[in-house]
Amino acid sequence: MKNFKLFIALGLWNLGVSAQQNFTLYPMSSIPQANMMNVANVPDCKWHIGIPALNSTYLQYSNGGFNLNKFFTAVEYKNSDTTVLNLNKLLDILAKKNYISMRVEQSWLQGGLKFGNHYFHGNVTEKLGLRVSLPKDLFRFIIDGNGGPNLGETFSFAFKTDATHYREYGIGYSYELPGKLQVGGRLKILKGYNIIETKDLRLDITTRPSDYAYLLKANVLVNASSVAGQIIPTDSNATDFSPQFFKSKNNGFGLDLGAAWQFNDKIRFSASLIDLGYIKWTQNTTNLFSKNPNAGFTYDGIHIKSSDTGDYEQYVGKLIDTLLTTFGIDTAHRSFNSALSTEFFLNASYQINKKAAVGALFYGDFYNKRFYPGLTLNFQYKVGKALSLNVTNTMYNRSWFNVGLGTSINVGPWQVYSVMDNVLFPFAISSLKTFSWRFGSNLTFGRERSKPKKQKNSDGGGLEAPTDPGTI
Amino acid sequence: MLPVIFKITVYLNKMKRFLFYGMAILIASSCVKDARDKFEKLHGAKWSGTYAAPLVNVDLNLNDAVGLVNGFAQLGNYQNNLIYLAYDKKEYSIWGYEMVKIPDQNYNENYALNGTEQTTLTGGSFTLTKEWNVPLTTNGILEADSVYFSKGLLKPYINNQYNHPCSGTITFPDVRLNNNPIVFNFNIPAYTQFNADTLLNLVKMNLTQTSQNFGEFKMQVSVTWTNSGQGFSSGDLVSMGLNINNANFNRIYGLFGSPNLVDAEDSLKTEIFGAGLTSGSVNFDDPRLKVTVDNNTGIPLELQTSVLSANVPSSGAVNITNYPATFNVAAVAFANAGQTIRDSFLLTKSNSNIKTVIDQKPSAINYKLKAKANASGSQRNFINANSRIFVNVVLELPFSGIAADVVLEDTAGFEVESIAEVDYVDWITFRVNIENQMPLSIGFQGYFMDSAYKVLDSLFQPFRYIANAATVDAGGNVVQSFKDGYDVTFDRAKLKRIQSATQLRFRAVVPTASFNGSQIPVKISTNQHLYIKLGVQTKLSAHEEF
Repeated sequence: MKNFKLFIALGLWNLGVSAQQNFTLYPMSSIPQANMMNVANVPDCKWHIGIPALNSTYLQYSNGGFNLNKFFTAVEYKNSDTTVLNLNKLLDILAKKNYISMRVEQSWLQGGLKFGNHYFHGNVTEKLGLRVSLPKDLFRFIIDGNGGPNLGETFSFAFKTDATHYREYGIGYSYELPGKLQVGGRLKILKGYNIIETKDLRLDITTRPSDYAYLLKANVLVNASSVAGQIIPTDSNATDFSPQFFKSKNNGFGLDLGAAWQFNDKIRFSASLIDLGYIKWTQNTTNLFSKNPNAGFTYDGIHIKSSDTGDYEQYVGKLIDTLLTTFGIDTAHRSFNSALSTEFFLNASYQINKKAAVGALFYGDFYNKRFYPGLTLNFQYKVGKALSLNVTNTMYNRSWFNVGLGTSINVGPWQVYSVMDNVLFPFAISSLKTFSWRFGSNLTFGRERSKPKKQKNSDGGGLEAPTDPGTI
Repeated sequence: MLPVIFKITVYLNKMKRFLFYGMAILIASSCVKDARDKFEKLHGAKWSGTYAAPLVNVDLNLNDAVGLVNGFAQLGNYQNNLIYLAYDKKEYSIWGYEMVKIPDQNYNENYALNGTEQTTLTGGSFTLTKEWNVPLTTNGILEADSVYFSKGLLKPYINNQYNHPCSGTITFPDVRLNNNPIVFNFNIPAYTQFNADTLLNLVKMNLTQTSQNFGEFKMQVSVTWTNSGQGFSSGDLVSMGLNINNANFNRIYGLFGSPNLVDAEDSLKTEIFGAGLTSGSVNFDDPRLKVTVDNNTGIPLELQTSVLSANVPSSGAVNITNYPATFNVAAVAFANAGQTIRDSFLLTKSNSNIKTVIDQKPSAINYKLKAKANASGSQRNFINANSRIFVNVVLELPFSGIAADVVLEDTAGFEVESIAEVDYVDWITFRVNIENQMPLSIGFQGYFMDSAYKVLDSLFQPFRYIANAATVDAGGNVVQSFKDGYDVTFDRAKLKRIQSATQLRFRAVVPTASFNGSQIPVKISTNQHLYIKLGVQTKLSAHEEF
């Protein structure tokens, strides 16, 4: 029970690696990898196998909401031909916490097999994520300063850097209950390889209005581990750093849960919770932490006293000693847990006709004690038997216009697919905040013929459901 | 709603689906061009920020203030913590080891055996026993009675010029180490000299055991010859004596006479009444002139003061009254050798005219004094090697009084490299938080001047006191400190004027506190502080084109 509570807590709090998005992939039943978004999703083929190492590659970039267009809001016209950049206005484009995240996933193996109402599937996937958070207060302190209208405010310099590399061995099962409900689950064994996790790296500065004294408060808690050696070496525990790709003692587990409900012939609801779990890091760990957590110190100027005989250097030396004593950092080598980046999806789709459907997908993940929601409107369309399209627009990261496009083409059993959540990014760099692209190739067998028969087997929304196995 | 969506679907299908992509690319391309155009128009940047920081947190008392302004006087405090300003000058004697010296010296006696003694020796052996009073030469003391040596070498010898071997002892009954006389045994062949030596460290030499009663010690020699059968030659004799080299003492006792161990004529400068504090009035409520004698010898002293006066600018030398013409200082008892006896006489407003003299702001105190040894008559004393007599003349000005219209002024070179980037500074504000526990108001003004000493600007406009005096009661005692907080702002125009300054003239006024509208004597003690917290706030701005 204790472990279960820990499991739930870590999963929900979600302080781990950056989340994937896959807004466009979610409803595409033609692509078996959509099952990764909702484990209850069953692809429209009897069985499939991903081309080893080529079945799914995922690249993702996103930031907390700043882009070139917002940058230009800080530009002011001096005359019709000349503009000047107002550095102070640049602050308006920043959020309180500004993150940049990048993620790469490479699936080595992937496959699935359907027996009647049962669907078995598995995967081996390498996952790398980096998420950096910078505080707006840092730039406010530098640009606006601490002595104007914000005198007396607390500037919180809270930095966060999370970088994780782990491998996922997943095995899943989906079942179509008699009636209208599909459920599924995936158990994932995780092997951690590298991590730098910033639990807390913060310096708070308040300038006292009465005398401009600085009230300082700081805390540090950073964990790191690598199978290759000490990422943060210390004198007492320095080891050689040699890359390792197969041996890991950093074990973890994860769980995906999904469900879909066919409300009627037209309307379908689904929900998914993925990456609920954690990794326990035990190899070459380093923990940096404050000797005096959340310690405070007031600096109210250079002290000159009657009894002082020292010079300025001695005072500075004494001040530094005091700061090091107050804000000293200690090192340990204890194991620690890192949570996966848990995400959830809520989807509703409406089947317009045999070929077209529309849907709305609500997405959410947590990072750095903040909730990051997303909303995607999608339009799915099947062109013949070989081509499936999904056009989406996603509102995410304070960006309202992110056009996504998902495409899958089947030639015989061979399938190639490409799914982008911001397909226009090469042409709209200035508005780019998020971008993700998943592409790959599968061999699919027993795909449903385009014979008109209504079936509720995926979030694609009961498209044509042939009963005979075979290629399209 | 649904039919509309259906129609859109059909329409898109009809438009070959590529229409959508084409439109998207067109829109996106125009966005890129727009961004490039905006960048090309960007030819400058502007910024402004306001920053605040603490600078200094100062805790001063008058000790620091006097040190900063004058740098010449000493400060002390009485048991009631009242601070005084002290001017002092020390006169001193030479060291004891310079006063008395023991030079290198030697002593020799020859003896030739007479016929009877030679006959006895020829018969087998003969023993000669002799004793001499050996003088110890000392310079700087009339009669030396005893010497405690700190170093030196005593080197006795026997030169046997007989053709017979001999043996015996040399004894110094008055030269003792650990109370044991120093004895040398010898056994030498014919025609041989015996040489010995011993360190004199910690050796005591008693020089009073001879009939002279001073300056001599005994040397006893016993020599026994044994017949060698070689007979005698003319001129045979035995030489006996000693050498003393590199001797010095820890303590010497004897008759020193009555020399003047200190003989000084000098003056004590009272800079506080000189340059820098020439205006206004300073009234020290209870000035004191103290003459202190430190005597660590066994010699009683008589301090003879023949002159004690003050140089008053308005009326020349003014005698200070009621000082003792002679003042006796006791000797250190022999049992207390190593200790120091301090004695002094004190002139105050109650026993002299010292307050009247000090009220006239004298520039110096003049004195002529001697420290005469054994003034009451010749007697026997001791000194140590490290003995030294000090006579300290001290003028104490307790900070209990009234200061009015006192102005301190000085001019110094001024560099403003640190504000060379003044074009980026809109303004600077210094936030001052002050607590003054002293019964002194502190007014300060700085005048920024160019190389021709033309005033360009001033620090405060208008002039203001940095801190008012603490509140005092009728007795001049502080009952409540003064607290204040204020800002002093320099705008860009003022900063630019200061930038061209090369000289800074300081002007400070420090009036004492008042009670019921009138200045009364106030007391400044060590536990009264001046706390100043200084913070700076500045607005910086820039507008750069590129």
